[in-house]
This record gives sequence, C-alpha cells and structure tokens, in this order.
Amino acid sequence: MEEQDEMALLARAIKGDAEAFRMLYEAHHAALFRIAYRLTSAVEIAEDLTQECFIRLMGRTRFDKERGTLRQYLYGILRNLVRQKQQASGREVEWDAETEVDAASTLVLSADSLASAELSEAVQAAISALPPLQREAIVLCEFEELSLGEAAAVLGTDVGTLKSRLHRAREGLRRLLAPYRGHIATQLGRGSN
Amino acid sequence: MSPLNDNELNSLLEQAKRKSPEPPPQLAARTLRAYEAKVARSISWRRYFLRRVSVPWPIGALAALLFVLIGALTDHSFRQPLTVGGGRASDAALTHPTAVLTFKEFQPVSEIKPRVIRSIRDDQ
Repeated sequence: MEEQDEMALLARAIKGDAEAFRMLYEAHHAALFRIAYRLTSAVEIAEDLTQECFIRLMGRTRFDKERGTLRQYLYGILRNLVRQKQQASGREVEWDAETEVDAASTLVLSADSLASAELSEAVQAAISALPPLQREAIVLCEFEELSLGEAAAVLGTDVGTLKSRLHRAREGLRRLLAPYRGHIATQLGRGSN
Repeated sequence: MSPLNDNELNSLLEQAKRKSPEPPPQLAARTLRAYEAKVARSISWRRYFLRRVSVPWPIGALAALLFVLIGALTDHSFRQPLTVGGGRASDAALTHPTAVLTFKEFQPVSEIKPRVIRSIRDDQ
C-alpha cells in the first residue's frame, strides 16, 4: 500500500471511518501479530497487543511521516507495548542489558526437551531465551526481513549497534539450537526427497 | 557440543519462519469492536459538543441582550452595601475579613499540653 494512501486512510480512520480502519488493519495486522508472538511466545498476548497497537494508533496523532513509515511507527508502538507488558508481569526487568546468552542457565532447551519438540517450537524457545534487545533484532531482521536501517529506526538505535546485537543473537541461537543438529539434517533430508 | 554453523542456523530460521502462527480470524472483529467503542464513541461525543447550531439573528441578539442584563443584575446585587444586623454578618466576614477580625480575637494559650507522637517502629 502506498504511503500516501496510508496517510489518507489513517486520517479517515481517526475521524471515525471504520472502513479505513479495517483497510489499515488488513495491511498490518499479520506482521504485528507475528512480531508480538515472536517477542512474547504467547498467542493470547500477541492478540491483545496487536489489537492495542491499532487502538493506540487511533488515539495518538503524533505520527510524523517525515520520521518514518506507518509500518515502522506501528512496530515502534508494538515494541513499547511488549516492553510494558513484560515489565508489568515482572518477567524481564533489565531490558537494556546487553548480556550474552548463558547456554547453561537458560535452558528449557536441554537436548532431551528439544528432542521431542517441533523444530519451530524449539526455535521459538531459543528466541525467547535471548536477551530482549537481541530478540528484537533477530525478529525484525531475520523473521520480518526489515532492512538494517528500518529495524534500527524502529528500535531507536543506530545500525552499528543493531548489527552487533544481531551478531550476538545469532551466536546465541547457534549455541542454543546446537542439540538440534541431527533434526536439521533429518528435516533437510526430508525436504530434499 | 559445537554450535551450529551459518547454513544450519539459516535453515532452522527459515523453517520456523514458514511455520509462523497466523492471527486468528476473530481478531479482526474484536479489534474493530474495540475501535468502534473507543474511537467512534468519542468522536460522536465530540461532534455532539462541537456541532454548529444555526440561530436566527433576532433570537441571537435577544439572547445576548438577556445575558448582558443578567450579568448586570447579578453584579449589582453583589455590590449591595452591607447593613449592620441585616443578617449578613457571615457574608461580611467573608468579603471584608479585616473589618471583623481584630487582635482581640487572638488570646494567649492558657495551658500547654504537649503530646509526643511516635511510630510503633521506634520501639522495635
């Protein structure tokens, strides 16, 4: 959807045009839901946050197209909502910690538990074991395929810092998912057949 | 156990990406209801208060005149001089406190009874 179209839809939706709101929802809800799920690992919370994201968009008129796209703005709202949710639940207080993944302490992802899990579930468990800032980086860049510049704008950081987080996140995932090497080989074998 | 290499990790991430959960269909209806409840309602209230009402000019002029008259009358009644014993002593105290209060009202304290207040925690 063109940026100008989105701006027009947003203006109409803020004035109470439900059809314009529905079109904005259709354009962005799937990605917002996926990101919310990847960041929280909970479908119900992801639903709530996706909904809240759109309601906040209607409540705020601070969106400035000079500072980024509507998509980036929505991702930014979602990121803040996820933070608030997790800090309120007391799960992750140290959001700004740039700590490394401690493969020995985080797991959940022991070889035994991984052996019975689906690969995608194991990947999600590994993502949720990452420190929050690294998790955001991997979700936006690897799963949603945002460019480094776009992701950095959403996360309110610079590209260099984002690259560093991404590198550390991938390092963490390599270690956390190492017990799954055999399953990868099996899956790849099935895929090639 | 040695970490995965780049290809292995990319393969895993790609598979996980393909299996990303989809938002449930009822989320759209739920979000739309929330939108209508929060946004549309507030807008309808705003419209109610900010709507334009056209009034014929003679009625408007009459209403304006009435407002001016009421204002003048109210102002006049507030400026009525206070009469002694007219039953408005409290009004006099409120509007002219210096006329009622003198230093005679401030008598010295006859007996001081100090009370020490402390927290229960002080005993612990």
